[in-house]
Amino acid sequence: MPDERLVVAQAAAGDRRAFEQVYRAYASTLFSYVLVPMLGDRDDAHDCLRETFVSAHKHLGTFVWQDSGIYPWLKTLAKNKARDLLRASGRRQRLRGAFEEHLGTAGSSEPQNPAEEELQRGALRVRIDAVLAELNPRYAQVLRLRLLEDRSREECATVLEVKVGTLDVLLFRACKSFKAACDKQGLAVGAEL
Amino acid sequence: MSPRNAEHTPVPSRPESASESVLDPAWEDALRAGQAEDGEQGSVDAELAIVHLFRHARAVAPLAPLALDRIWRAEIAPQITPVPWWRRRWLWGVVPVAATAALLVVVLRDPSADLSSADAARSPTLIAAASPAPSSASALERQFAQLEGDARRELGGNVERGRGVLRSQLLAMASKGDTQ
Repeated sequence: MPDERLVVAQAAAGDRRAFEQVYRAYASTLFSYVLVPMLGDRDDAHDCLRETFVSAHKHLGTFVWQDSGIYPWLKTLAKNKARDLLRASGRRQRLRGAFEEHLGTAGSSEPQNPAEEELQRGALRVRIDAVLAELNPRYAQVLRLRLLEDRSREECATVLEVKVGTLDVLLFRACKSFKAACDKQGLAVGAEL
Repeated sequence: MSPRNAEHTPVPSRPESASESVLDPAWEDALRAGQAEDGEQGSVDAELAIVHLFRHARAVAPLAPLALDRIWRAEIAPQITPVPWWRRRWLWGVVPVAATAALLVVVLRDPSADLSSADAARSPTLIAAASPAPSSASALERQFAQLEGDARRELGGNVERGRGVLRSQLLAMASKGDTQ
């Protein structure tokens, strides 16, 4: 965001348009890279996004400008809101499909801006390829085709020379195998937040 | 893999497309179907997290521009926009109470008690300010004397006119009574 410091200062002084600029600059990134991985649920991520920005508006006066900008502060708020939601609704029940811990092991440090979030996603892809190399080739292939290359079930079944129904079994086993490989490599797969 | 697995097609109902996003429920359905075919039971949360991770690595779950806009307009903006003073809830409680209190003060306060004798003794300048000067008092008396005469004459005339009207009305009523 150009002139971010000025915009943040204006927002802190009560300028609603400036605050809207901050929202439009960072809401999508917080949703996609922070809240969805933490919550594994689109509606919960949506609710937390709203609560994050309402809270940010309320406490913007306490924000002290740093070179990394406002994104790390917003990210901390978003994570806190997500943890509050998890606590309030029963952590184990809410962790269905959450994968934040996997992301944490992919990069060397916490991303400080949207560009770094994207870089970390690239690092995650490299890490996934490394784990896939350890797997049964058939499992690795079904994971690649179905989940990374976005091939249809029919297409995957044709390539793997199985019936379509068998593909689900292959996918399920491949996921279990991938998790086991991650555990073996010391990745915190399935760990709680 | 058992032969029965190869014969079963458990999740064909959902449309297959590139739109299967990170959190598409179809992934959980597929995993559960695979788990059931494999003869297992229980949670698939760990496997679902793996699927979500792969899908995230492929493409993140996006927040559509329309959704971004809707969240701002419908959910955030109303909460952060200051409420005008006349729409604040506390105002509707405070104003009637204050108005009632002010009214009570006006009604219950004795105007003659404004200047007690003690105050008057302490503050002669206040008395001087409160009472009119001699010249203005005599002018007021003269004006009153002039106006009083005119007012009394006008009042007398009104009374006389009223009497005449009443008399004529009574006579008219009496004459009607005679004829009936």
